[in-house]
Amino acid sequence: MELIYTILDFIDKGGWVLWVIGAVLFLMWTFIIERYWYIYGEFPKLARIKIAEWDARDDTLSWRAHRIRDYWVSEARESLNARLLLIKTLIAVCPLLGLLGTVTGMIDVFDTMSGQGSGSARQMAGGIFKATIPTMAGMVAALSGLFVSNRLEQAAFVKSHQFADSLPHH
Amino acid sequence: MKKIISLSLAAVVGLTANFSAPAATTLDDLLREVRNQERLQQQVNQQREAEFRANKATQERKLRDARNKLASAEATANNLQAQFQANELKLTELETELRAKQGNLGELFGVVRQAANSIQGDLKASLISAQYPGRDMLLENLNDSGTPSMQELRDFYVLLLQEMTEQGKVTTFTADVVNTAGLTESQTVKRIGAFNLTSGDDYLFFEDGKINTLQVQPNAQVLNALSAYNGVSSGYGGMYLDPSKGGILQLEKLKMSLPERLWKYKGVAGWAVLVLLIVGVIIALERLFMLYVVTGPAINSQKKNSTPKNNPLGRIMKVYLANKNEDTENLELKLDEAVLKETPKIERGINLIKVIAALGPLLGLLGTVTGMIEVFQSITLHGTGDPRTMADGISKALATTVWGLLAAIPLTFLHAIVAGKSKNIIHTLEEQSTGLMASHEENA
Repeated sequence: MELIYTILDFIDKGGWVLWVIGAVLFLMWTFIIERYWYIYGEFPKLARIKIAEWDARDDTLSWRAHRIRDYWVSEARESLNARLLLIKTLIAVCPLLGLLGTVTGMIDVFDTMSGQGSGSARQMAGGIFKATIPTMAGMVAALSGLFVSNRLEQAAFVKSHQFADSLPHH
Repeated sequence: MKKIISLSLAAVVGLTANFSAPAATTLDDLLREVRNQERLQQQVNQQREAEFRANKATQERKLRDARNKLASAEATANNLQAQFQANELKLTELETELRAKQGNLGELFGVVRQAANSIQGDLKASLISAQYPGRDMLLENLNDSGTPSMQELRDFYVLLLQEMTEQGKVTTFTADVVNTAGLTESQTVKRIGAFNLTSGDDYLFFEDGKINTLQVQPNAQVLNALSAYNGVSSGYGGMYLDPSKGGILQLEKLKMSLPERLWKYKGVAGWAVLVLLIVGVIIALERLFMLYVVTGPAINSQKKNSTPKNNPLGRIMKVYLANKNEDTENLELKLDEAVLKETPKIERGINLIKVIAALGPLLGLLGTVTGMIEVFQSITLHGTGDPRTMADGISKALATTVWGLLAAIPLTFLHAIVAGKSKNIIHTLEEQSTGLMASHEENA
């Protein structure tokens, strides 16, 4: 409960943009987990079936057989790389959202200042402190995904090559 | 010279006039006449002398009287002078005495007047005056009258003490409230210290001795906290206070919501971004429709079907079937050509979406920077050190950056989706088409 209050307090300070960043973060991690589950859980099973099918073939040498092999490898690469672009886009959007929150926060600060007509440095600093929270949140969200998305890309690359190597070229 | 001559002439004329009157015919007559005159003159003189002699005593008496008068007047003057000096001395003495006796009291009156003057404005605006109206009459009296009476001093002291103690209290009282429709009605008002007046779940404000309902209430979060606070019957409850004693709440009226503000201050850059956003979204929607509704399903059904239809994969398949019996090198070339023909149709417009998504923030930034330049230029020209002008200008200038970001975020998303799908389709065409046909043939 304490943690929830801390988070809610943080969101309260940062404004509505933090909710959007939170939603993007949630979506991003859902996709990342799905990718991990597919690459390390589902794909090896599918690959084994295909490899068995390849090994059972009589003809593995003809032009036609090579085309079929290329087709399988390409399809495997497609399914391994699916949604990775979307994950990367979500990562790229996070800092933009953070910036959006900061700019709207700044507008609030200067709007209030112009309404009150006071040049209080303390008040302005307080407002700017609040306004910079979304940028920080956006950066942190992006960084959290950046590392994992690179790992995922690497894993998809390795897995597709391993699959290609498992279908021996005669 | 002329003057003298004219004067002597006049004298001569005068003489002749005087002496011509008796009409002396001879010189002897004249002599006699002169002598007579002489004698007469002498008689007159003697007579006057006698008269003077007779009067001498009287004149002397008069002189004596005058001398006496002068002496007495001088004596009086001396007396008065002495008295004046004595009085002056006494006056200084008394003044010193007064100052000694007054002591610090004079200073006290000054302080009281000053304090009354400075607190008058505060008290008039203080929310405690909403509960106890008519408190500022005393202060007016203190400011006007010369010397405050003991009673007034006491009352002033009590007034200050009341203000102090009431600031720490949360109380309810009944008062006339002007509601949002402008009608006065009696309501139960809750006063929280010197900070806020509330009635039910509404915030009130106090102005010119009248309690008004706030025209634009703060946002739901703040109001919910207030109603939760009203529900608390014991212990402590949380609510939002206005430390500026009404200033921040009054700002609610002036505050524009973000969409309103964005719409109002979009400027040229905002318009440009808006147009770009619309163009980008239209392109993206068209692409989404083509890729997901038209091309995508057609290719998917073609994958399972060996008879070519009119879709990108089907067209490649047709080329394959037509050149099936050529040697492999020729067949590959023909297929590559067919794929190359299809890709531009699929990739069309996708890069444009990306460019627009990248342009949005740049244009927004441009608008903000030009806005800032205007602000600072006007400050340089007019030389106002008013933070209000500057803050207002900056907040307006920032609106275009928001426009840019608002355009960039959805377009980036749309680009990712469209680009992903098109890449998928192109891979199918490039790498999988021949394999697909080969397996179709094998199965057949």
